[in-house]
Formats: sequence, structure tokens, C-alpha cells
Amino acid sequence: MAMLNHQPFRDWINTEDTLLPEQAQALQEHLRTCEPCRQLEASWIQVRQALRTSAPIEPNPGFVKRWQVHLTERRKIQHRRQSLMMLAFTGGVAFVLFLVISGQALELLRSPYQMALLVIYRLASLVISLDTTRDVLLGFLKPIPGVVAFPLLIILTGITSFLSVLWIVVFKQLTYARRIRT
Amino acid sequence: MSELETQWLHLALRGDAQGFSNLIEIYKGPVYNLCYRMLGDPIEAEDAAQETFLRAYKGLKRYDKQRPFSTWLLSIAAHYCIDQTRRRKFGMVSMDENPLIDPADLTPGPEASTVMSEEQRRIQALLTKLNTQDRAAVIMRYWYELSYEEIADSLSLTVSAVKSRLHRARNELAGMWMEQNIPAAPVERNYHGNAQSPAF
Repeated sequence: MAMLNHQPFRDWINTEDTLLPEQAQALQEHLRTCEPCRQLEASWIQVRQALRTSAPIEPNPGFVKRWQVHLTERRKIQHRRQSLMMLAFTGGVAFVLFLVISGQALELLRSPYQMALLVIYRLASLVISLDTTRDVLLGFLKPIPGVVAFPLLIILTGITSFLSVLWIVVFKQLTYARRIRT
Repeated sequence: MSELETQWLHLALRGDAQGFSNLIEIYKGPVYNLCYRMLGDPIEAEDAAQETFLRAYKGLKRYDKQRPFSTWLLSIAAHYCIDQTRRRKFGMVSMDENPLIDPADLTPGPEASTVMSEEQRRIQALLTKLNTQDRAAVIMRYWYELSYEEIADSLSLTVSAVKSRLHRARNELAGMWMEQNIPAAPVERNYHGNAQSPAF
């Protein structure tokens, strides 16, 4: 019998759908006369039986402990990667700044006279700015009586210190890998 | 999913690794078994199962609670194993790439080295000859009794593709079994009833 003629029967042998009565009858009749299809059917039933009776395989003991170790390692790697990325970013910014400053410095080095003038000008501007700032601050602080100024200074210093400590704690909490409770 | 498992899941969703460890204790068997059936090697299976749980823990927020947790885990495991098989095929897997392989864990334990029957070994050998997605579909269908819809959802396939893959896999398995010259015993089959359904 040509191979093509077997195909519908082979499909019916391996189907999970319920066959129509006429299909089932046709298959039964075909199987009575066709040895290869009978063999195929028997093979599939054996395979199916083997699949059904195959016991699930369990992992070695300590699987969860190993997972916890892997998780800790993975977090360490992640933390290290984040630190490296932060370092690379900071380094990149520093490098760009260095290039910008170097560019300006080179520009200035070409004419020392202009550089000297510029430095003097910048210093003078700085002094003027500081003086102006001091005047502004004094303008604000003068009306406040001396008794209030000192406690205010203490409070401001306290708030600044507290915020600094808080910033360090938050930074540590965010960057350090968490440990697993076992 | 039991009430206790739901509680552990809630704990895990809040970042509690211990809650997730309790879930691993329950699901480690099915996940490991799937990985073993997919990869055919206890060391690779251990590694794949570990990676599955790491990925699941990392992506826990993406878990859809309408779906069974076990199906979600099996889906992650199947995808990972399919990728691993492809990478292995192209020689892309190396020890350096895989930080999870720990030489201390390589010794097979009593469970992993359980003596399988000759028939079981033969089944495992046949499975490894199937296309990886067909293999995953067969494992999900015959070991975990997942529906076509669940398999389709897990393997990112359509239901008709799953049916077609399973049909092809069954043909191949039966054909390969027959080629091994195993004398096939005469069988009786009920073509109308569900009692003999291969889908359990």
C-alpha cells in the first residue's frame, strides 16, 4: 500500500481528539490488515504508557539553600556592577571637566599677559562678589537682635548636621546589598 | 494555590526572600523535573532550575495572579531551557558565562542519580531527539497535564500550533520507538471513550 494511503490512519492513531464512529471503524478495519500501522499504534501506546508512568525527578537536597547562596552572589554582582557604573559615570564627568578646563588653560597659556589680566580680573570679581554677599547678608541679619542670632545659628548648624547624617544613612541603605533572613 | 502559599507570595512580593524560599520548597520538584526532561543532564537541570527561581524572584511583580503560579514558573523554566538548548547547539554555553555552576554541587545526589528503568532511559533519549519546543509541549502535556491553552500561554504559541506540535511529536516518538525494534504487544484501544486519553 502506498505511504500516502496510510497518512489519515496514522493521524487518527496519534490524535487526542475523539474519532467519529465511521473514522474509528475505518481505522479498526485498516489495522486488521496493515502491520506497520498496527506497530505504530502499539508503539505510541507504549510511549504514552512510559510517559505516564515516568516518575518526576527531584533535585539534590539543599536546593533552597543553594538558591539563597546564588541570590546573595547575584546581588553582590549587581551591587558591584552598579558601583562600577557609578564610578565610570563619575570618572567620565571628571574627564569631561578636565578636558574643558584643560582647553581653557591651553587657551590662556597661549598669551600669558592676557592670562594674568584675566586672573586678576577674576580675583577682583570674586572679592567684589563676596563683599556684596556679605553686605546683603548683613542687611538681613542686622535687624535681628543679637540674642536670637546665636540660637538660630545653633539650630541651623543642628539641622545641617542632621540632614548630612540622614543623607549618609539613606545612601548606605540604597547602595548596600540586602541580606537574606534564613 | 493554598492560603499559606498566597501568604508566602505576598511576603515575596514585598521583597522577603524567605517567603519566596518557602515557595521554592514546594515548586522545586516540578521545575527541576521539567529542566531535567528538557536538558537531559542533572547538572544543567540544577543550574536551569536555580536560574528559573532567580528570574521568577526578580520578575515577581510581573506575575499575573489570575494565572496558576506553577504554570508561570514552568513557563520561565521552559523558555530558559529552550534558550539553553539553542545556545548549546551553537556552542555558546561556557562555564564563564554561567556563574551558577558550582563544582561543589556537581556530585549527583541519591535523588538525581536514582536508577531509572530501561524504559525511562529510552523515553529520555527519545525526548532529547525532539525539537525543543515540541519537547517542552510534550513534557507540559504528559507530566504536568496542562491544557492546550496553558501550554500555548506558557510557550508563547497559538493553541493550533501547540496541537500541531504535539501531533508531530507523538508521531516522531512512536516512530522512533518502533525503529528501536521493540516488540510491540497487541493492544486494545477504545477510539470513542476518554478513558484511554493520552492526556490523562
